[in-house]
Amino acid sequence: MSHSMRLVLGSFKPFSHFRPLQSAYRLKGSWWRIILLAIFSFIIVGFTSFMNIKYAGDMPEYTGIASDDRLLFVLSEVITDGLIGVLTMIVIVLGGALLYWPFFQQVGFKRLAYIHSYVVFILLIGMLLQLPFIPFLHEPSLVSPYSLGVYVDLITNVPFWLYFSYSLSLFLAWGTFVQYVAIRQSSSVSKGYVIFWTIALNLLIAAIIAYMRTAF
Amino acid sequence: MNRKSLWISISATLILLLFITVNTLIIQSVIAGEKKLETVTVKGKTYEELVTFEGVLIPEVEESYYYQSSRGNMSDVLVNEGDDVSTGTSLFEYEKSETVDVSDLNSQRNKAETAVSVLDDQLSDLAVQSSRIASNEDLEDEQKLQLQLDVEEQIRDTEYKKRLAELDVKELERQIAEAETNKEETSVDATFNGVVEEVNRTPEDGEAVVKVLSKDLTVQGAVNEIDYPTLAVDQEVLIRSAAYPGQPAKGRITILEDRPYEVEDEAGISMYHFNVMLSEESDMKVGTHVVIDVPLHQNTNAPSVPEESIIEKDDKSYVVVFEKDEIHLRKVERRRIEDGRVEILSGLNLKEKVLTEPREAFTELLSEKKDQKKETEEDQQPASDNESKG
Repeated sequence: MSHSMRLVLGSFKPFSHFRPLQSAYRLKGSWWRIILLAIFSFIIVGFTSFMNIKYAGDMPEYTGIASDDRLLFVLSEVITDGLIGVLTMIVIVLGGALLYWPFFQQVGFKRLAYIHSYVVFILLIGMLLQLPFIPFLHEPSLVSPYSLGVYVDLITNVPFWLYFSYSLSLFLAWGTFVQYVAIRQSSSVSKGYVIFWTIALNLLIAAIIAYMRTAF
Repeated sequence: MNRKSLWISISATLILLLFITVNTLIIQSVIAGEKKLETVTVKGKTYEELVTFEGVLIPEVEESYYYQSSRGNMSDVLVNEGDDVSTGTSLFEYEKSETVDVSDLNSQRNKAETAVSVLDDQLSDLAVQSSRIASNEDLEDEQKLQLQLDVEEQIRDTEYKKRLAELDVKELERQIAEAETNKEETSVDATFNGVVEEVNRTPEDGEAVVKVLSKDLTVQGAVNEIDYPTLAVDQEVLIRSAAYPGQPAKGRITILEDRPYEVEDEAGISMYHFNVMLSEESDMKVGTHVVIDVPLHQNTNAPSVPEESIIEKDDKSYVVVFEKDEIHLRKVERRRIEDGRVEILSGLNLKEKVLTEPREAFTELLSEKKDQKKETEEDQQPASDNESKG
C-alpha cells in the first residue's frame, strides 16, 4: 500500500488523509511536490521581501538610493531572501524531522520529513495571506495580525521576544495540529505524549529561529 | 455535517476573524510607525595616548648668595631661615670701607657748575665786545686790530677756564655716582620672591651666606633615552599625585635637558631631567611625588563615529553618508577606537550625518556603483594619456 502526498487535502482534512500513512510502505509523489514547494518558497519569500522593501519601509536606505540603482538593490534583496526561503524550507523539512526523530522513532525519519512538508505548505499559505497586510498596514511581514506577537509587541521591544512571539501564529498552530494528527495516525504513542512533544518541539524551533534572527 | 459541527465551525471562524481584526487594529493604531533612516551626526572627540613619567615637585628657582672677601668684611645677615623674601629684599651687608660725604661733593659740583655758567656769560660779553670793536668807525684800523687781538686772547683764556670747570663738574659727578654705587653695593639683595632655606652667619670666602628657594613650584621629571624623543618643550601634560587624589593639575614642559644626569651602565640607558611648570594653582607641596601624564599623538576635535557605522571591506574602511536626502558610500581613513567611537583621520567632516548601522547587502550595492565609476575613470585615464602622447 502507498500514500500519496496531497498537500491541500492533508492540510485541510488531516484525519482522513493521514489515516493510511502508518500502513503505507511507499510514499508517492513526494519529490516533485517538494520541488514545487521549494519554487513556491522562493517566489513567496522573494515577493514578501519586495513588498517589505516597497511598502513597509523595511529597508529605509531604499529611499535614499539613486532611482537607477533601486531596481538592482531590490533584485539583489529579493533573490537573496528567496534563496534563504528555500534554505529555510529544507531546514524545516530535514531539520524538523531530525529533531522529531528521537521522540517519534516509531514514525521514522522519512515519514517525519514527509509530514513536515505539509507544515511548510501551511506556513507558505500563512505568508501568502500575510501579503495584503503589508501594503495595508505599511508594516513588514514580521508584524503579522495572525500571530500573538502583536500583544507582546505592546509590552516589550526585546528583539528575541518579538521574533519568538510573532512566529506563534495561527498557521503554526494549524501546522502543529496537522503534525499531531499525522504523527498520531502514524504511531501508537499516547495522545498526551504527541501533544506535549509536538508543541514543545515547535516552540523550541521557534525559539531557535528567533535567537538566530536576533544574533545575525 | 451535523448542526453541532456547523455551529462549532462558524464559532471558530468568527473567533479567528475577530482575532485577526483586533490584531490588525492594534497594529494600525499602536504598533505601526514611520520608518526612518537611522543616522548619527559626526562629532568631535579628542584622541590621545598617554605616556607616564615619574616626577617630584621642587622649587622653580633655588639660588645661593655668596660671601666675597674682596668686597670687604660682612657686617650683618639681615634674614633668618624660613623668612619670606621678595625681589630687592636685603639678605646681608658688607661693612662700609670709607665714608664719603656725598652732600659735600654735591655742593662742590654746584660751585663748579656756577663757575661754568659765569664763564659762559663772560664769553657772551666778550663776543659782544668784539662785534662792537669791529663796527666802531671812530677807531683806526690799527687800533681795531690791536683791540680785537686783546679780546680774542681774553676769549681763549675764558674758554680754557670754562673747559677746566666743565671737567671739574664731570669729575665731581663721577665721584658722586661712585659714592652712591658703593653705598648700594654694601648690601646683597634677593633677586626673586621666595623663602630663606639656609643661613650661614660665619662664611669663609666663596661660601654661601643665604640660600633662597622660590615659592613657585615646578615638577622635575625623569625620562630615559628611549622615551626622550616623545617629549618637547611647550608640550602640555597632566600632573597627578597619590597624595592629592582627584586633583590633577595641568602643566607645560619648560625645560628638557639635553645632557643626561645619569647613565645606567648595566642597562646602558641614559636618564634625562625635564621640568614642568604648573599652569594652575595646586595644593601640592614641595617634595610631593607625582605622575606626569604626557599625551602623545593627540588629535583634538577629530571627527568620530560609532564603531557600528564603519564598514570594513578589503582592508578599507567606509561610511555611508546621508546628505541632501541621498546616501552614498565614502572611503575614510580611520585610526583609534575609544569608548566605542572611531577616530576618522580623513574622509569625513564634523556635523555630517552617517548611517548608524549600514547593512552589508546595501553597502555591496553602493560599492559596486563606486567601483564602476572608478573603473570608468581608470579606463578614461590611459586613453587620455595615449591621446596626449600622440
